[in-house]
Amino acid sequence: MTLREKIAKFMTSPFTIMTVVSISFVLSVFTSNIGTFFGFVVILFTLWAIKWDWSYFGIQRNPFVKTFLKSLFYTLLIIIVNDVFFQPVIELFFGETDLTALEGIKGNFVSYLVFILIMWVVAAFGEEFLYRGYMTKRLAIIFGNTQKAWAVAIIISSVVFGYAHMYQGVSGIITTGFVALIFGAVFYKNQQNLWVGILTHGIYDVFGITMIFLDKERIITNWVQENIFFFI
Amino acid sequence: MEDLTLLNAIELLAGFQAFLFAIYLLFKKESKSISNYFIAIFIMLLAYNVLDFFADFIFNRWSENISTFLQLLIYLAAPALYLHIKTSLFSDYKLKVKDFLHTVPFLFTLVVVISLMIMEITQGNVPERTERFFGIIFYAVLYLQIYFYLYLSYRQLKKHKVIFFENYSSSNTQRYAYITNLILLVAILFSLSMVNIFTRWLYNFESFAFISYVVIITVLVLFCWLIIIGLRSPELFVDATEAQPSVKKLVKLGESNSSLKSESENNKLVKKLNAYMKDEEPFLDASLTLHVLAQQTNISSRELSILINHHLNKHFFDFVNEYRIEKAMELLTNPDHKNFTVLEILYEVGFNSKSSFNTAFKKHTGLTPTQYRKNALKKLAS
Repeated sequence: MTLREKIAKFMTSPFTIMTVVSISFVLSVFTSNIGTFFGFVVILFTLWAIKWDWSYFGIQRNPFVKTFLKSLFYTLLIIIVNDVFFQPVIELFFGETDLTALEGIKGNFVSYLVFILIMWVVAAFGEEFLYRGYMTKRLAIIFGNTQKAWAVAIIISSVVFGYAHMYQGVSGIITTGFVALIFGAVFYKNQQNLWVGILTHGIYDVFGITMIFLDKERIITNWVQENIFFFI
Repeated sequence: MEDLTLLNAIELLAGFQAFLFAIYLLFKKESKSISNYFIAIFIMLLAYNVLDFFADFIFNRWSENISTFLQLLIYLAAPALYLHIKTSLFSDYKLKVKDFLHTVPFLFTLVVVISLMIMEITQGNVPERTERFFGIIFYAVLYLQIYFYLYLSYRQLKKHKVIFFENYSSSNTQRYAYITNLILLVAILFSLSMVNIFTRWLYNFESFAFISYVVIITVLVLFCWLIIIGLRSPELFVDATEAQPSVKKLVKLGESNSSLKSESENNKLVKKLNAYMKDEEPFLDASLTLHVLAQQTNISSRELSILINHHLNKHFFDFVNEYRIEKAMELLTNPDHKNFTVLEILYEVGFNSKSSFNTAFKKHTGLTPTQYRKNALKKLAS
């Protein structure tokens, strides 16, 4: 056994995976951002150790058009379920989502484009890779690869994902955690194709960031709160 | 959550890790044994106790009483650990109504807490001295309980060892090591926590604050160790349908209904047994058990157990291993086997681990196998 194979065995052992998820969770609760970056470092290291076997994380070649259409459908679903129904209700109880961290892109086209680019790499690709391809999939397999195991794994990774967005306030934690549940379900439906999740995440974030750029990010939430949930 | 410290971070880490492992144990398909559930309960209770800071933070919004009630659950941890050890040693053990007696300390503290709460509501305030007095009693019950259960667990282990060596010829050191280490680690953990409680709470030695870190790191080590061992899942060994109860019980039973055999009958059986062992060499099979040997020799398991474990006054384990050592001594000095390593020979004669072979060999001959072989070959040469 070479050193690299030994490292691969260690990095893919259930104990290491459980510990990595726990450390990432604690870092997220305490610092909000470092948890995700810690996760990135670990999965890149794991990927190197297993000789760049991307299918370990559910990434492989897939028909593009079908994948793209699927993700458009899922994006629409998330917008309807989360932005129209879930988020307005949560914000009524826990206050507005805190998006001040993204204030800089409002009306600034260059920052907007740069941010979209960073988002595709870090959020769409990176986060799906870490939270779905690594955490959800690995935990589900450790727990026995049954439907129940997947459900629990999706819930756990969504909680960690929610806490990784702590800078958005309590509402932010809850709504991102909720959206993560949908991403998890999407991944469960397409276990061999993480690209569906990546594209869904990317398109959904492009939608959200564009709304912020146009200074219209409150438009759906406010309209829904005033016209549908006015009785609360 | 502003005042989070490093201590809280380690607590959260240990708690979350334990939570993941408990889910793994509850979901595990291969061995859905009751002992898994008990260790999962033990881990969860310990993890909850460690996470009290976060629990208070969550529950105190509604009522302080919720977290107080939940904290009493720690009185179920020691029984859970004990039942885990007992059921993992004796896998056929069925829970009885009697086992609900294990919840008595928990119920006792629950009643006390409820009456204190009623007192608080009716009289407005519980005097500090009363509160302190009950606090001391609570801690005393907790630590007495854990040491008592650790002692009971240790006794179960010893009892099991006796039955095991009277019925089996292969060693089981891995499993015993796990349980011994578990008992030891939990004893260390609770001793440290006791020091922590005494210095900080009872005497207010603030300079001992570092002990909290020692305690929480011990918890983390315990969890990591349990996860690593648990994921490797050492298999269970005693087949209850085959193993005979300890020979002391058998002899007592035999005396009461005078079914014990006479001396001469026993000597006849011993001769038959020794002849069978020499001619057929059943000991070459590493998995030989008392039950199997009884079937081969047409002696009932019960009689055979009394014959070997009581009449010859040797454990079945030692009885069989002596034959194995004799055979090994023969092979070690046999010129035909000159090129065989000691490892190859020990597997050939029916041992399944190097350490148990070395121990047994040294006990029997006073020499290590390699020393013995060197001496013997020297003699042959001269």
